[in-house]
Amino acid sequence: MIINRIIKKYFVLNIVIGIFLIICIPVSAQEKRVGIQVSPAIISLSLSPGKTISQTIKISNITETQIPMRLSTYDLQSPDDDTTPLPLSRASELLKWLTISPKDIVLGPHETKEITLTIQPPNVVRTGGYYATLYLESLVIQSANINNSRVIPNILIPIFTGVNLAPVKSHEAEIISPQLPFIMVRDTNTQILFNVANNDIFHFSAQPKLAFQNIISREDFNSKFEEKIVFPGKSRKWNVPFKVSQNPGIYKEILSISVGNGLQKQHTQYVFIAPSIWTMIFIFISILIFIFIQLRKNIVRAIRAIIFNE
Amino acid sequence: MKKNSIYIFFIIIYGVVLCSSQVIAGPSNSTYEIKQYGFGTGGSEGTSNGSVSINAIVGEDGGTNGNNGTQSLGDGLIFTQQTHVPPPPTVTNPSSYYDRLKFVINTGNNPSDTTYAVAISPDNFVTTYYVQNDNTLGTTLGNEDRQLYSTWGGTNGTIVSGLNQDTTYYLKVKAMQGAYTESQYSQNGSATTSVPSLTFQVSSDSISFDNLNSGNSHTDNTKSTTLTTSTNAYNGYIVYGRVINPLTYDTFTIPNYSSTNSSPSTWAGYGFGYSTDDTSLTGGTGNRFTNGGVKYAGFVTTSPGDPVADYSGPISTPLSNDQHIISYQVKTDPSQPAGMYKTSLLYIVVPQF
Repeated sequence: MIINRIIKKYFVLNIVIGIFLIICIPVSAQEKRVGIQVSPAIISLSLSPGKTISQTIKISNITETQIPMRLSTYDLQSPDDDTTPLPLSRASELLKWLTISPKDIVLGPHETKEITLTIQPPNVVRTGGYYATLYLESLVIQSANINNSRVIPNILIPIFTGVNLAPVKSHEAEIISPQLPFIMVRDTNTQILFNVANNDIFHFSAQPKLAFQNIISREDFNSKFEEKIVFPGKSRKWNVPFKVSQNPGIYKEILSISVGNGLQKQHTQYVFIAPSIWTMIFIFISILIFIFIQLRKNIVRAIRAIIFNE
Repeated sequence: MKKNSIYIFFIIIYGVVLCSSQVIAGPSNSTYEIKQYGFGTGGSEGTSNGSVSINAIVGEDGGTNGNNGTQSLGDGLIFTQQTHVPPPPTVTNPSSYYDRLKFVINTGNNPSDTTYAVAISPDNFVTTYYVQNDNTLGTTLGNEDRQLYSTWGGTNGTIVSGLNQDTTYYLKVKAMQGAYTESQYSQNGSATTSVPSLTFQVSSDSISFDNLNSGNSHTDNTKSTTLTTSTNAYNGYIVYGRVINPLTYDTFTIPNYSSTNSSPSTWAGYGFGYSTDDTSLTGGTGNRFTNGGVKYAGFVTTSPGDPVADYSGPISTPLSNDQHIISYQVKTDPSQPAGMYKTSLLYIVVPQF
C-alpha cells in the first residue's frame, strides 16, 4: 500500500528521469557525431579561353556539432591501376586559374553555407582537359578531453574541366591488353581483363560492353561493365569476374567501348562456351583417345623397336 | 500538247542516258531511277536539267498522267502508309542521376517490327542530338540508331548517358516500319538531371582508448567508428583512412600495426590497427578484412590513405545512409612508457568517377 502510494507520488518524476536516461545515455558528452553534406559533389565545367566561370557549392552541417572548415585545392590523381604517369596532365595549370571564396567557414549546427569556385583561364590556353580536386577539411573542435585522438571527416570533390570541350565529341581511345577467354564454362566465373587507354586530350567516360553472338543460331546476349572516366594520356583497368549461362556453342565475342558521338572501339574474338567442366574433360580425353588410335600403329611399332630392337 | 510530248520524250531519253551512265543507287526499275529521295519529298536532285525537272512527292499519287500515244509518265511512288506518330516518350530520373536519364518509348500501337529514332536536346531542340545505339549522344542519326522497341529496352526503357548535370533534357521519338514510312516526331517528353550530392558522417569526433595496463593485457579492441555515407554518385564512393602520425606521447610512439591494407592479418604483436566490416572492399580481395575472422591493418600516414569502406556502383537508387564500421585495436608492450598517446585520424570520402 505504501509502495503504491510512493509509486503514485513519484510517477511523474520517474517518467522524467526515465526519458532523461534514454536520451542521455547513448550520447557521450565527449564524443559527438560530425557530418557534412556537399552539393555538387562532382564538378564538371566547360571552359573558354579568357572567360571567367563560377560555380556555387553548398556545404551543410547535418549534425549538432559546430564544424569549422577549410577549403583547399589539389591536383586530381587517377584513382586506378595506372602504371604510367600522366604526361598530358595540366592539373597544376587549373590550380593557377582557380580561386575559392571564402576559404574558411564555420558551420553552426544544421547550417548551410555557400562558397564560390571561380575559374579564370588565360586568353591563350591550350585546348584540352584540366583537372583538380576541392578538399573540404573539417577542423573538428577538440573534445573536452584533449587527450583523446581526433576523428575527422573530410570530403574530396573532383573537378573536371575542358577548354573548348564540345558537348558531343568522339575520343581517341583504344582497348589494350584484352584478356578474354577462348573457352568459358557455363555458370562458372571467368576473369575478364582489359585496359582502356585514352589517347585524346579530353577525359571521357568509358562504357565497356561485352556481347556474344552464336555463330550458328545467331542467339545473342550482352553485358555491361562498370563505367569509368579515363583521363587524357592514361589508361584504366577492368578486371571483372564474368559468368555466362547461355547455351553451349561457339560465339563471336565482341568487347566494345563507347568513345562518344556514337562511335565505338571493338575487340573481337571467338569463344567456346562449354556446358560444364566435365564436358571439357570428356572432350579432352576423347581427343587424346582419338590421337592415340590414329597413332597407335606407329606407337606399337616404336615400342616393338625399343623392346625387341626390331 | 505536241511541245509537251517532245519535252517528255527528251526527258525520258535524258533519264535513260543518265541511268545507264551512272551507278544505280536509288529505287529503280530497268528504265528509271529515283536519284534522291527522302521522307516527305523526293526527286529534288539529280532529276533535273536547266529547263525541265521531274519532281515527285513521295506519298502522293501521280494525279493526271502525262502521256501521248507512245509514251507516258506513270504514277509517282504509290504512297506507303506512314507509321503512327508515337506518343511522347516517358522520360524520368529515377535515381537522381546527374549525367543520365531514363526514357521509355511509347509505341502508339505501331507493329512490333517498327523501329524508333530518339532525338534529345538540352534547349528544346534549338540544338538537336540523337541517342545512339550505344545509348550515348551523337550529332548524326544513323540507320543503326533506329532500333526496335525491344532493343530500346521495352518497358524497362533505356538510360541515355553523357548529359550535363542540373539540366532539363527534351526527348522526342519518330517511328519507321519499312522504307518510306517514317512518321513525324512525337511531342516532347522531358526530365531534369540532378546535382551530384554527398553526405558523410562519422559517429564520433574522438576516440578514447582504455587505460592500458596489465589488467587488460595492455589491450583495447572495443572502440569503433561508424562511417555513414549518402550519395547519388553513379559509381558509388570510397572512404580512405589515414593518421597524421602514429599514436604519440612526448617523444614516444605506439607504432601503426605492421600489416597492410591489401594484406591484413589476424592480430599478433603490438601496435595500433584497424579493421573494417566492408566485405567487398576495393584495393584487393574484397573480404580480406573479414574472411576467416577479424583481420587488422595499420593506418598509413600518406595522403589520401588506404580504402577502408566503399560502395561500388553503378547505383540503381541513390545510396542512403550506407554504413560501415571501422573497429580499432591497440596493444602495447608492457615496457611502453606511460603517458597520454594520441593522434588525428582522417577519413576522406571521394565520390567515384
